[in-house]
Amino acid sequence: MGKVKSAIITALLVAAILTLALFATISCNLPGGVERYNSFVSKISLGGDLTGYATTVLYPEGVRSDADYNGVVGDTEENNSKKREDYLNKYVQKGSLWVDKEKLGDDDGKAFAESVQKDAKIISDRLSRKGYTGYSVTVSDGYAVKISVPAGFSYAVMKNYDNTERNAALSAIGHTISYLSLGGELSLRNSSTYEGSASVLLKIGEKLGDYVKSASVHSLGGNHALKIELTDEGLARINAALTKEGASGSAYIFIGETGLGLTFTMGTALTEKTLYFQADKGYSEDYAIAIDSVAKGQLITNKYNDAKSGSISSLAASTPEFGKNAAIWLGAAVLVIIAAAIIYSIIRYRLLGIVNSIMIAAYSVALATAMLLTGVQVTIAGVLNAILGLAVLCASNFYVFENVRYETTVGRTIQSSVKLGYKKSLFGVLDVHIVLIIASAIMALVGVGELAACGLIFLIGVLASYVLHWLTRFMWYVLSSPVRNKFRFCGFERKVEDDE
Amino acid sequence: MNNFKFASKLRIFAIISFAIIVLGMALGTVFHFIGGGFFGYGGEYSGYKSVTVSYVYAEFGEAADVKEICEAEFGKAGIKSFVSTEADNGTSNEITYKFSQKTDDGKLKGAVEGINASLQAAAAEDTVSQSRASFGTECAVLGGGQALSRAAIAVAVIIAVQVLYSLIRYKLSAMCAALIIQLHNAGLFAAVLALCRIPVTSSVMTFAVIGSLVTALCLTVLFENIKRARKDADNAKLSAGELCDLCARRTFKTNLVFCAFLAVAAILVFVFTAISSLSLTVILSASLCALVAFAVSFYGSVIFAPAVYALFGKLSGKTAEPSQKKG
Repeated sequence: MGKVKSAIITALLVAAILTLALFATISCNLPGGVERYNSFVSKISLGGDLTGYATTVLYPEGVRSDADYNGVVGDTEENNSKKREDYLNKYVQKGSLWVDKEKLGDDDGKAFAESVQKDAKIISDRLSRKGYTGYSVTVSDGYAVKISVPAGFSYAVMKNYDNTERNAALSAIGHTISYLSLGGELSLRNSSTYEGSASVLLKIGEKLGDYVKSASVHSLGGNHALKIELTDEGLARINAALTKEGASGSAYIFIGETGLGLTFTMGTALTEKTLYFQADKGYSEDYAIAIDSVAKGQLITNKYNDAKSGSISSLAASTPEFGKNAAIWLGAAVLVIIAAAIIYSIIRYRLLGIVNSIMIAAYSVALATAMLLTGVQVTIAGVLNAILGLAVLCASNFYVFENVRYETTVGRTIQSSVKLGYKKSLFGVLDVHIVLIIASAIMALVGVGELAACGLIFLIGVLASYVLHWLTRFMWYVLSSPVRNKFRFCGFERKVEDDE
Repeated sequence: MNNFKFASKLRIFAIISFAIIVLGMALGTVFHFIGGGFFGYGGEYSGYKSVTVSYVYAEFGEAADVKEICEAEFGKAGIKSFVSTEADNGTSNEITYKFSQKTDDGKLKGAVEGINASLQAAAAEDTVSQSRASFGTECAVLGGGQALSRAAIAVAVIIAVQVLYSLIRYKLSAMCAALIIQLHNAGLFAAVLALCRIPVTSSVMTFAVIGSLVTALCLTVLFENIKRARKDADNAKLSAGELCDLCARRTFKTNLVFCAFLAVAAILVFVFTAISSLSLTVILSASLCALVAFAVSFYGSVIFAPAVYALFGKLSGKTAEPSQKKG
């Protein structure tokens, strides 16, 4: 390959990487100062350890927070005296909470605390199916359930460059917590409001939950739907109710006292056991998890504040435990690691190290783009998996370089050394990548939450590593073609007299 | 490492590993009964005590003002939180301090009273201070057991993949060696965690999985080298042990650089995030886990593995025994 051809190919590749890197990393205000361009990296969804958690406390009926109680008791206004008196007589302090004496009962609240603990476990089970990269459900002072889920903000959202996204993310979390903490049975009712409505099922005490086999999300071509599988008996019983004489209007699905907005037309029989209700992905997931959980007998027994209103109003976005600037510092650490890998490559392999450095840059940009496109939530663990992928790329290349170096030490020409070095390491590199691809794919499919996200990131990393491993071979050839002393280009030494 | 004989040190390696695993398991079992868990669980799994301070902007413009008051009171009470977070729900702000389960309730309650008095005094212009601190106990529902079982599933999957792949590509002796080394590494990692009482947090889960991936990678490189070396006419007269030693020495440097790079990278990530949080305690367990995971992976798959593979090579009788020195 001639000098010109080599220069053109190299320039094209470097320009492509630089352009992508520019769009990936540089955010700026657009002319006019109203709109802003946010870089790929700043739009990647980040986990709770980097952007913090959205937290709320669910208080069961009969339990008040310390602030709520003191707000009433501390209010010295005359017209509040009765309410103040009521609070003073009605509630006793339990840790930071104030609990209704009636709720505590004869056993000093032991049974009540157990019911809250049981509810918290059900909420935790439901949240575990949501795929969050980390969440926590704790019982505060025995009588309140505290839920924290990753806010899932991107860096741009966290820095308030994108308030629409921020509100959308918090609203989605509020919906999820609200619906996954709904208590009570599944029912089919004749009105969209619970008060004054009645079950449309014909037998007294008949429960819709007994007729639901499972509920899941069905996705196809970017559209999402809630999929409910009925039992044979369920189909017959629901049809009997829908087509009873004089039936008209709609029938509404409720969990406890909350309508889900899912309706059947009265007077029209269902023809299939599988029902589909089209909805937004997040909403479909929330409904599916809640319905499936109730149908499988996981019933939340207490009524919690906010839960029945359909959205959590007291959601607080907390700072990450690693500090407000954790994402920035993590980015700095990644840059240092990339720089270290590049410097090591160049010191050890001279110009060949530059080829490896180009691949490192390409890997970094490719992974950032893939993280944005897949929408995977990136945590510190995810970043470590991406670094592991980078290490696999470098190790594969170094392994080949060392094999080539070994061949040069026994007197072979650079061409035959490269050929033999790649030949010798072909299956080793391939085997490593196959094992890691299978392992990471299974991790992504079998794992949940953070583990699944790490599996996906590592899978992308290993695939990129293998592609770039071969691109290294090509670029080695392209860059070294015009160079006269190819041993010097690679930092290798030939043990016998150079015949090139 | 030019002349180090890995294969002949099988007994020494086995004794070291066995001793650490037995010691770790024994200590973990003792702590399971008297210390509340086989491992020392971190706050996110074992629960924690907390002091939540709610404040409004009308009284305090800056979170730093409230933090200063709180930290002075905690200092007076002689207690230290392991983490603090700030939250904003649109109408009021909250600062939550988390303390280990062992923190004395009396001291915490005393600090809370002190904080409330100080907040009241600081907001003296208002008749009623809306800012208030409260003390609570958080009991974790998502226990450490569940988190560890997820990591165990992931590690088991990786082991299964590697064992099956080794059987298909490198035959039975490699499969046996892969199985033993992967189990050895998983056991050793768990034993060291139990032994050192490193608080088990979600980062342990990550490093357990990364550790088994690194082991899979290093073992595959070793097996491939041995397979290739077997085909080489120059090595025809080498014993199984000598062949394994030769290949282990060839791959040693690359594997060492790989593991060291990962360990340094992981520590660097945690050191930088520690700068962000201005606290060493939040990264200590994660950094130690990283070091343990990569050290165990390196020891198991680069140092111990050639000896184990040589043993199975001898048992399968595919290479000449007794050895005939090259040269």
